[in-house]
Amino acid sequence: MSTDKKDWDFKQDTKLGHAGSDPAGEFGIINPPVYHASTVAFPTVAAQAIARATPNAFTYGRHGSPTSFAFEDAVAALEGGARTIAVGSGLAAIVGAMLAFVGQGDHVLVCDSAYRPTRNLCENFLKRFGVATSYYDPLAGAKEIAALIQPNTKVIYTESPGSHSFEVQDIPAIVEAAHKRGVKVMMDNTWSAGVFFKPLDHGVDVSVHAATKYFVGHSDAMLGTITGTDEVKDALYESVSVLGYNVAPDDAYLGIRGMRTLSVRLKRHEANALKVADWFAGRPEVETVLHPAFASCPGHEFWKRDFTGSSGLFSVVFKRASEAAITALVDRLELFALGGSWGGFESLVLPTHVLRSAVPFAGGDRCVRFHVGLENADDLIEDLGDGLTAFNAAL
Amino acid sequence: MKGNRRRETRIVHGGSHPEKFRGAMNPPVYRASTIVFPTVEAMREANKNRFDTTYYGRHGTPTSFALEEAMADLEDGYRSVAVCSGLAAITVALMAFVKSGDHVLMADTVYDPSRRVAQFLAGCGVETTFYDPMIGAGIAALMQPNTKVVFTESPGSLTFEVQDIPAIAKVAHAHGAKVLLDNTWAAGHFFKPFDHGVDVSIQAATKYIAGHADVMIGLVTAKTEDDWRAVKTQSAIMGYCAGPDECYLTLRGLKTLDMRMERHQETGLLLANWLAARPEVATVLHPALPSCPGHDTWKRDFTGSSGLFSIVLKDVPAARVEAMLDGMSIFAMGFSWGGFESLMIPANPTSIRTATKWQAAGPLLRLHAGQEDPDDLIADLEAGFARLNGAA
Repeated sequence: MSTDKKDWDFKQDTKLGHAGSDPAGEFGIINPPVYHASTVAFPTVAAQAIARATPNAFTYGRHGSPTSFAFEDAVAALEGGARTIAVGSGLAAIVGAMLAFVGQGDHVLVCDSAYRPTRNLCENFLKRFGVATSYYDPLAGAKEIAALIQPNTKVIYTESPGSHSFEVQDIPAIVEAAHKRGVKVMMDNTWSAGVFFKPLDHGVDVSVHAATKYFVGHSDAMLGTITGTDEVKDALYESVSVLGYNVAPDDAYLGIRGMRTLSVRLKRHEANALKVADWFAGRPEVETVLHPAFASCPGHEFWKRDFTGSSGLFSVVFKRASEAAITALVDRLELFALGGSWGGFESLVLPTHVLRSAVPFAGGDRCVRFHVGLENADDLIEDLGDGLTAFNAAL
Repeated sequence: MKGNRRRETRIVHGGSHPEKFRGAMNPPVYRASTIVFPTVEAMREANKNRFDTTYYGRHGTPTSFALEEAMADLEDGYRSVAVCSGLAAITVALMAFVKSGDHVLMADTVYDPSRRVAQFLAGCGVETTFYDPMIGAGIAALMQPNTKVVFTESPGSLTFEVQDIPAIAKVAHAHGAKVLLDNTWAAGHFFKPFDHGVDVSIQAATKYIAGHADVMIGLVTAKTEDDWRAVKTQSAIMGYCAGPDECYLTLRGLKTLDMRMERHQETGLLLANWLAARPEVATVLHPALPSCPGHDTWKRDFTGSSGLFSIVLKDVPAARVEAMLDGMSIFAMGFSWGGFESLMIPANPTSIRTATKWQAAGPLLRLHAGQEDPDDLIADLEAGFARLNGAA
């Protein structure tokens, strides 16, 4: 069995089963061992000097171990990047990547649909250090984006679809406008799990994942990944390294362990979510289903053009709602647990308060987000039926 | 844990809550991202106290809370924040107290990655001035109206200058600046930061607290609730979090901290004194030896010494030093320190200081005295010196 990864021309599912695996280097064992390491000992002064000068050598725990390298290799293979860097949370991936490109006096463009911690980074961190943020309409095309780029704009941050309001962005158009002006494009690609969308193939410079979600897939680890092109990979590594981000070995192991079932899990998430979303679309209480595979979702045409499938996360906007009704719905549900994050095996529900500054959100406070897990879809629909009964009674 | 209990008792029981964990002395390892809530109301309540309850895995679990509690107890601080590395702890503590236009004073002896954080801060519009670690109250001359943080590391983990922290803190506080201390060398065991004017104590817990070279983790402990909240908020913004197994292993390491530190101290002193008598050695930089800059301050403020120190050799060709190092059979060569194993590493302080000049003519070797039998360690060093002298 050849272990030369450069010859790899396999299809996605094969890559997901093998990337990062190195039996020849691990006593024939398929999975990487979990290295608990800080100090790495060198036999000689010369060996230490060589190791320090070698990229991706095992030199010190904070810089990664064969466990984290294996996980990083698997993600790089999935995303088609020059290098992946693993960090301790999805938010750490966003912060570490963003800080690779900006400094005092710079400007970033962030989609208005970005999830709240990204906004928090801009408002409560970047601003303090002299980096200004403008929020843009996630449906902006090349012309609109070009008009927003300033001479000091360094990054255009995208999250597609937005993980609460699900606008699918025209990434190729944004990339075109950005690159004309030397601006880097970052994308939060968590929703597609790297399976249904390939940001780097569409010109994005850096793809970040909250690997906590679908990669890990079991709600049992905090993990983030940053994948970049050859051009930016060193800057990304430098930023992550200066800030002391790293990844815990057991979490990296759970990350690569999760990726082995990513494809089968995503197929189930997709099928279940489509079935549940379809059911919602037929309910009289529902105004809009914000699911990228539905024509009612803003940016659906971009999803159709650029994505190869959909995951388990979407929102529903009710025609009429009240806090009491949404509370009654959520509290009544037995199979949908109430909690943040998503991407695990379990179904989740979250009332959504979409925060906007560039464009208003049409769903107001009538929006609830669902993550459809790996349960039987009919059971989920029955549970939701009971939930809507409680919803109507409280309205 | 009650404050009047003695150190050994507090270390053994710190962070232990059998009443919460079905009688288990140790907290379970919680692997968590999503935390679920029974009702919308419960989620709303949790959101109000997101740092004080389980709210989301990134903000902490009972496993990390237990470690933070034990660490705050060890340092006699208000509360701790666990992050994913010592460097992350340094970064988050610095970032918590500065914004663009501010100024930081940093000891010239800080370890290299702290200096790289200062370079990063420069890109964020925060200026850093490096100061002579022996400056004491003289730091007043370097204070600017916009100085927000004095970042100290005492002793310096390569050259071991012991700083006059109380004198520095007095000046800093008169100017409204926070005093941050990298307290890793003393491991929270031999130096009480908050009794000496420090506001925020940082531990590369990777080292002595975890103590087995198998974990990357950092802990930031603040003296006051306000400062703790500032650090925790900054950590939440930047997405830092410590892995659950790492928290567990660190708390596990903490249980033997005092015993390990006593052995590190004993062996470290024995080796340092033995090395001081060697003809090949120009100076021993060990805070407990009078030859170390700041020794008097160490004597006044510290209650002991750990296992990390340096020696400066008399001028000798590099090939001879390599012959010594490459042939060591017990002392391993590698970064970090604080584990059970002895380490020895060559270093050149010349390139990593700007405010002061490194004067030594000969090469510097940093040693970490591990838990091995000291006679074996001395025999290993003796054979090393034979190679140093013989490989002409």
